Amino acid sequence: MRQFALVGLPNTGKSSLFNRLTGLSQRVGNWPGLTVELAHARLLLGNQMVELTDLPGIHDLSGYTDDEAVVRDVLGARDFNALVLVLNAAQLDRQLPLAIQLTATGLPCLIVLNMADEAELLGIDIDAAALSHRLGAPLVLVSTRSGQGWAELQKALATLARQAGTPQRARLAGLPDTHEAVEQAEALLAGVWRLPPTLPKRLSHRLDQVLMHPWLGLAAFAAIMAALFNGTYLIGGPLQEMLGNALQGMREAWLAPLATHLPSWLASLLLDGLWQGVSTVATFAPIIFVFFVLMALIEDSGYLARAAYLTDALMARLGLDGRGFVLQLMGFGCNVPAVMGTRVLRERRQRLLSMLIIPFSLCSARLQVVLFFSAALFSPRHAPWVLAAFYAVSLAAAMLTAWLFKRRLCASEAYLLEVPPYRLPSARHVLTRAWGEVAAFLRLASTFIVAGVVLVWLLTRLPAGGYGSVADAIGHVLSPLLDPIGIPEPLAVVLLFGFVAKEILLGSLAVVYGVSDGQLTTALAAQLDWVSAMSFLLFTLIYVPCLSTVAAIRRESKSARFTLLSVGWSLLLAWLVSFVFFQLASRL
Amino acid sequence: MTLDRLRAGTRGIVTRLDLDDDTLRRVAAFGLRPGQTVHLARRAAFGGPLMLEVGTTQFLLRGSLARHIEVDQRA
Repeated sequence: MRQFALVGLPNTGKSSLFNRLTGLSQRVGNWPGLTVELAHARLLLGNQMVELTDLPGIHDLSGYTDDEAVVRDVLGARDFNALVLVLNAAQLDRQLPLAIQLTATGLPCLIVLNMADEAELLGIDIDAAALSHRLGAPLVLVSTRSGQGWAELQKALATLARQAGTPQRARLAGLPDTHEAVEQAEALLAGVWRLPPTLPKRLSHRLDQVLMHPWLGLAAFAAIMAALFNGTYLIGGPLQEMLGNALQGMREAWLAPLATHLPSWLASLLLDGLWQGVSTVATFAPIIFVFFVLMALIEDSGYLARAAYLTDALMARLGLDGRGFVLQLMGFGCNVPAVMGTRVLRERRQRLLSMLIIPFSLCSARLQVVLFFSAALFSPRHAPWVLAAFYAVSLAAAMLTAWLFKRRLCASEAYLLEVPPYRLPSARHVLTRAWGEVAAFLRLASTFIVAGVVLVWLLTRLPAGGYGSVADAIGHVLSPLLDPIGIPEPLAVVLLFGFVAKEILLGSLAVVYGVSDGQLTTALAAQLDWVSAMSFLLFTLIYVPCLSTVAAIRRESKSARFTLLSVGWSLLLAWLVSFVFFQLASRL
Repeated sequence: MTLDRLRAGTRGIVTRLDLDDDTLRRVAAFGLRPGQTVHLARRAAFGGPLMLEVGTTQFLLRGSLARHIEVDQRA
């Protein structure tokens, strides 16, 4: 099988091109010897099977960013038959240097000039045949979005596959450096690629008059974020509930009757442990799908860069960039996709810092717990203020964390972000991407999350002498830690369940108090004073949001140490905040 | 004058970049090189980033970096 690598600059529509070529046949997998995941797919070009690997977008093959190192590592570690290079036809003045570097690797190259339709609208004059001749490589003009030039691209790819010789390693030593590549590119473009003397004013400029306006822009930003947020909720929420009900129904109608023949411990392990865990995780799928559809719309339309422009002044002070703000906001819906979405930040340290603060966003699952407690313990007049206070605590925890860790995880790269013209996102690309994210998340569930759920089941069911279960024993052992923050010992088990998912926290609280869900309000008011309840709630808000978030952090950071740091820091901060609150409030 | 002091809506020609090698590469990838004309399209509030245009490429650059880039102002 032939091996092709897809290379290009960010924002050239490289991934859309990959999606359009490969559809749902693509797989995301770990690259042997590297800690990166790369999408790859097999496709039939002419009569040749080709494996196409999508490499991260880069600006410069001799650069030092994380992505540039990855591309060099991959090209230096494996034999390829050819490279397919995607460039924006309207920006060849700054993009052609990459083509100079790649053709110098000695691998056959196909140059794909994408966004040919935009270049045409701008009045850019491209002599494709002459440019191809000067580069010594075949070249096609396409528009992934409109499909313009698609047949020519297919034909060029088939020719490349047919003519490919034995696969070879890229020559990376002695490549032209940035400066040389830029000079060669300038000479190559002279006379064959011409910008008009004045560029026509585009619709994007007029839209930006409003969307990037100092205060109109902020108002529009708030409105767009509110729409995005509510969209995730209004569409994803009911889907999540429907799926949850369906899985619960399956359990009652089919699995429970089947399990009656099993020993009761095994039936409980399968139903309360495994099935409960799998269902809890599966109900995240609709939220993740909806979130990534909306996120892809924001990103592909070009709005994300505008949002970054508007919020960067604030985020820069926290050691983050403006795109992190959007993810932080989305975390208020659900932390899991927000953590997965940090991939839009290309620098690893920025991504880690974002991942560290997103779990403090008061997500919808924790919101239910806060709403329930504040309704149970406070008058309707005070309850909204309690809720507002919890949002404030959530933001403060995130900002404190960013401030504390920004020195260690501060971006070392210069912050430069392209602001692409507004584009109509393609439905095919948006859906393919959202589906890919859901599939990746569900693969996680098969190991990490199910293991965690079964572990918690074991802890709460295995007997431990006089203490009841192992979990009760843990609660007893932890009591020196729980007493100073006013959390009664039996609630330690509830916090353990809350570690799996905050959705099951209230249910397990009802079990601890031996009441039905409906009687929980009265039981809470009778059993807990408000200071202990608030301390418990603060702890619940700040400590690990759920096992799925931990799994997402593990997946995105690819570091067990960082995942432990994230879990450990949130537990420590939760304890400290609860401690300060409880000690102060109980002395009032 | 330095790039961060250019008035919004005006152009300048890059004359000098006082940047380390790595950063120089990053900004060169967006077309910021000596001799290039750069248009400061707009400037975000509260000391936020600058939106620049070089050729057909628009991008954001923080003031902290723009301070190290010298330009000659044009009409």
